[in-house]
Amino acid sequence: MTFLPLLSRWKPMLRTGLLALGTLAVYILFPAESRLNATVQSVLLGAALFVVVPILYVKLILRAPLSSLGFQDSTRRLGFLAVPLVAILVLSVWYVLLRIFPVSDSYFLPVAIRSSFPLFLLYEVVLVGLIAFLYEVFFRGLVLILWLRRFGLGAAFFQAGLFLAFVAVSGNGLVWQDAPLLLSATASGFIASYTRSIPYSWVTAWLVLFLSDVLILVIR
Amino acid sequence: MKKRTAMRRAISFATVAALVIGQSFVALTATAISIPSATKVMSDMEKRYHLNAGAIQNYGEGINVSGTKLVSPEVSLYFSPSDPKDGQKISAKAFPIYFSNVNDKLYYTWMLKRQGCDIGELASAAPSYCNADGVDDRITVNDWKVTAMRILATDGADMNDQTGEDGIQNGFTYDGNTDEDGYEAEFGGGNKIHTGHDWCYLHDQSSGVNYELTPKSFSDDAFTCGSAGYIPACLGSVVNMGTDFIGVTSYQYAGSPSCENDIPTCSSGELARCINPAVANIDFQLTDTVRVDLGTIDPITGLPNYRYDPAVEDNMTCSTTSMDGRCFHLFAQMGGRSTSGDGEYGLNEERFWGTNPHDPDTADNGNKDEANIVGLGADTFTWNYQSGDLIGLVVEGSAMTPTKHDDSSMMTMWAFTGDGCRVTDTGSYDTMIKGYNVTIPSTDMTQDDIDSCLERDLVDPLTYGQGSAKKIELDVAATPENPINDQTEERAGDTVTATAAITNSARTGSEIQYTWRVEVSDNAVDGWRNITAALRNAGLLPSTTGNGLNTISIALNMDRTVLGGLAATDPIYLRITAGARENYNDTVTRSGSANVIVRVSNTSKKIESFSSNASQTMTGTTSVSTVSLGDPICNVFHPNPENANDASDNLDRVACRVMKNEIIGVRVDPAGLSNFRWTIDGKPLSCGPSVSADAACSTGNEAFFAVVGSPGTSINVGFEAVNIDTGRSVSLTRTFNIVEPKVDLETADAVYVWPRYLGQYVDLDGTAHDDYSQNFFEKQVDGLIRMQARFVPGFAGDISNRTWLVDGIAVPETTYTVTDSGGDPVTLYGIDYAAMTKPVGSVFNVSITAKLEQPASKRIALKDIWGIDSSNSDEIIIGKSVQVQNSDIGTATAADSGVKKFFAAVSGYVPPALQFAVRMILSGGLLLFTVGFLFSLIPEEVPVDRRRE
Repeated sequence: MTFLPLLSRWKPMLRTGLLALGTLAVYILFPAESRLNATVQSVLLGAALFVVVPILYVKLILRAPLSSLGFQDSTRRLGFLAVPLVAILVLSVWYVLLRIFPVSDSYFLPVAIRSSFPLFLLYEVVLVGLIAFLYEVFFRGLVLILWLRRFGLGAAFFQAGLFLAFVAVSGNGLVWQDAPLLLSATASGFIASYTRSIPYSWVTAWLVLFLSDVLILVIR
Repeated sequence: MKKRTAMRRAISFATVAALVIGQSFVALTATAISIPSATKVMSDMEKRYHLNAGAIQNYGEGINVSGTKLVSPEVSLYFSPSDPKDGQKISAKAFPIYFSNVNDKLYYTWMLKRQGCDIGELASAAPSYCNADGVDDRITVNDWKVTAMRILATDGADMNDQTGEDGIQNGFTYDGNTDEDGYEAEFGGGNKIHTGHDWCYLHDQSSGVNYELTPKSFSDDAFTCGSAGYIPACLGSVVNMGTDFIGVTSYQYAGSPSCENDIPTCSSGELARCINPAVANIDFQLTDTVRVDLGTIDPITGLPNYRYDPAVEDNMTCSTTSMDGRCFHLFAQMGGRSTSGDGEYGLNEERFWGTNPHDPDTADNGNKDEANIVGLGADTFTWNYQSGDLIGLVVEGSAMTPTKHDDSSMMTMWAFTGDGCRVTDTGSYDTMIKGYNVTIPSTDMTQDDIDSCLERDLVDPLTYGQGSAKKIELDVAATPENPINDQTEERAGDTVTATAAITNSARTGSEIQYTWRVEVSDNAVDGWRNITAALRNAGLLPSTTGNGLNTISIALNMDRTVLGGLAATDPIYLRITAGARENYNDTVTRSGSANVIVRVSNTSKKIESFSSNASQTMTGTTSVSTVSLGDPICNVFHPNPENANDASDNLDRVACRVMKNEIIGVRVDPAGLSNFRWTIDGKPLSCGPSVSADAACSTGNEAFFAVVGSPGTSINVGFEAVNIDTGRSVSLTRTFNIVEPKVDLETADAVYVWPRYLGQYVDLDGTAHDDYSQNFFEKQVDGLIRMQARFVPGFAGDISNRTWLVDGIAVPETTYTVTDSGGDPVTLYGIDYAAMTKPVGSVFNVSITAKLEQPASKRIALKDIWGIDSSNSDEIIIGKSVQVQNSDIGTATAADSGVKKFFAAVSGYVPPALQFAVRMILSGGLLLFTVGFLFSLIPEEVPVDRRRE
């Protein structure tokens, strides 16, 4: 009967891990409704599985506060300094990639936001911010902070790898279009690991995505 | 010494003699110079400037009587509505002309005669409102004026209420006059301020003479000279250079003197003298004399007798004569007294007119109250109409004609709504103006005389509006000019639109009833047969009768059921008649009708269109381009179109879609026709050996043209010929619309790829149609992507180089041969591609890029034959991109079992959004439940009490 105490000891971690991996599996295997717009389905499903399910899990099953999911201020005093530092570091990588590889040729930006500055701002603030929030709650909040927090910095790399696998499986493989998303996941993972705060990691992710688009437009 | 003197004289004499002889010789040998002659000068001018003596004579004769051809002011009225009902507001709008003032500076004195308020009627016997001014025993013109101007000044207070016990009248308290609303009316209009001119005139319609009403305080200076015939003058001095170069002081006429205190007076430096008229226009000295022939002959010498009179006499006297004048206004007056327009508007006047004594502008129209009483700028009069109302108007202002007086005055005149006044008691008076005795026609007519004229100038708003046109003036126009009737099942005939326009309608368009009639004949003169009912039965004419139906459209798809025996006649004529009718009331009705005749081409012949081929041949060292007919285009018609492609073909049959820089061939079956003539947009279109070597081109039943123009414009190709059997002309037209070329993608095999179902739309007749997306398609998960391209214009695909991409990867092209609903094979370009495997819901981006490029031979032909530079016929790149999504439809079907069949049926009726939401919620809930349930079976780790350890 040594198995049961072992299970009991690792129960919280196993339970959260099962939920995280199960959620990803459900997302990937979820049958698409052919009569509905695919993009709308992806956003709605993402909101349900990546935001609503983790919050319900924390509130109903764990009966814990949302701060355990990272909805809190930074636990580090210098968190606000870490955000721009990490963003600059990651964007430097992105810049090098842009210079070395023909990324900008295959990187798609809608014509409307390329030709209209107000639409560009709206796109970046609303759409990019919303999508980034979905990923933050799940990958940084549930996976990194709630599930793997005891692994420290290693958790940041793990969740980035998990995110990369998720993108590769659920998308059309890995393309240059996904590079800023992966970079933002890595950057915000470091911030989440350091600050234990979803708002901080969210800002980091958004900043990386926003400036990546700006760089693309500038280089073009 | 004497000898030398004699010698000199001899030399001088010889010199003079030589000069005289020489001059005489020259004069005899050269052409003689005539003496100066005014007649010759004038004659030369006539010749030089082509002046016709008769024309000049006519002109002079016209000048002679031009003084009696002067225009006098007139005014016309317009009533709105022209058919008022009792109690309804009606407006009379005045349109004065031939005044030099602007309209808002004229004085409009309106008159309103109510029923029973006839002139001369006893005030006691007439209705109480008739005696509006409250004086006289009988009704006068002033009563009519007061009635109208009171309404105008009070902005609609139709009747002047009696003063109530509370001292309130018309809602105003007359306890004092606190406003400054007086207005002093100048003669000739509100803008003639400070002129002091009071020259009033009446125009005599018969003689054309303007008679002056003798002005008030008239002051005429009368001068008397000692001798008869001398004229009073002011003499100005001038210094002329004499022959001895010594200055001589002379005098000349400088103007007329004035009479001040009976003393002739001139300007400083001038002399007041009487002068002989003979020196009026020359310089003279005070001591000069004037020779006067006495008209008799001296019996001894046989010469005329004469005497010398002095040029100047210093015996002038003068006196000033005053005359009583009668220049006056025709304003409405309070109680018959002339107080209106005197600049003082007291409490009594306020009470009389019903204006507010505490508001300077009771009518709120921007005028002071007294200005409204005199009708300043009141060109519109609005009142509540009652049966029997009559309206009159007299407008005072400055005419276009200047007076003869030595000032800036124009004639102050009146315009009347009727015939005006016949001028009586005429005469004239003389007055000195600029030193000349000027005769001015005058009349002694008084204000009463003119008021009596106004009695005859009243107009009835009812008959005035309708009297100008007893019938409706109607015009009917039809377009297009030479329409074509199509008896075939294509039903592609033109639509004739006939529109009726009424120029004198008193009703709004929707209140006029129109009735239309359509007749047909084989000529434009007679033999008309009514086919209105037949057109309606055939569905070619929607409606023919109705209010506001001023336009009808006739679809010229008339077959034998409509045309009867004229079905084989070409051309035929349609006579389209419109009747219009409007009612004023139960008894008064106006109507009118008009028609238009339209020539209709009625032939089964059609203009067939073709693409073209071009080639170059060498003639000597010169390359010659010619074109020939290619494949038929835009000639397919589907009587019962089954899909969008059939409808597109039918659209091309009516208006063939072409792209610019294409060469199009057109041809007509020549059987039974002769004398062919082509036109393009109305200009001749010729076809000869320099264009094409086709025999039909030389015959004339074939032609080619280059498509030149911007997308969106149309090209109309016309064809005319003569029917050999009937000798009548045959006209055909064909329209080509220039479009931007485009390409659409569609499924090549609906088993593999099908357009996304969007829903249904319902026609106005209730028929539901399925609606499918043109940009989103679905495919089976493991199925091929079988799609094909459809070009517009259809033949654009044949000159295109195409590139297909699926998710950015180039895909080889294949061709599909399909059969259209007419049974003809059509080759289309497409792909048949096995894409990489993706899960359900994944999307493939399928795109085509087509480069349209005319063959070099055709570009050369465009340049050689039509002068289109090759830089204008270069390539055009078009493309289309669609999304194809993997779908499980067709792979997951409902099983035959009862329960699954039931749920399959239920799911079929549940909206997809709801199904998705339920699935999503159930998935999330199941996930949470599973995790929660599974781990609830595992006990929590017991916390270790570290203090015990």
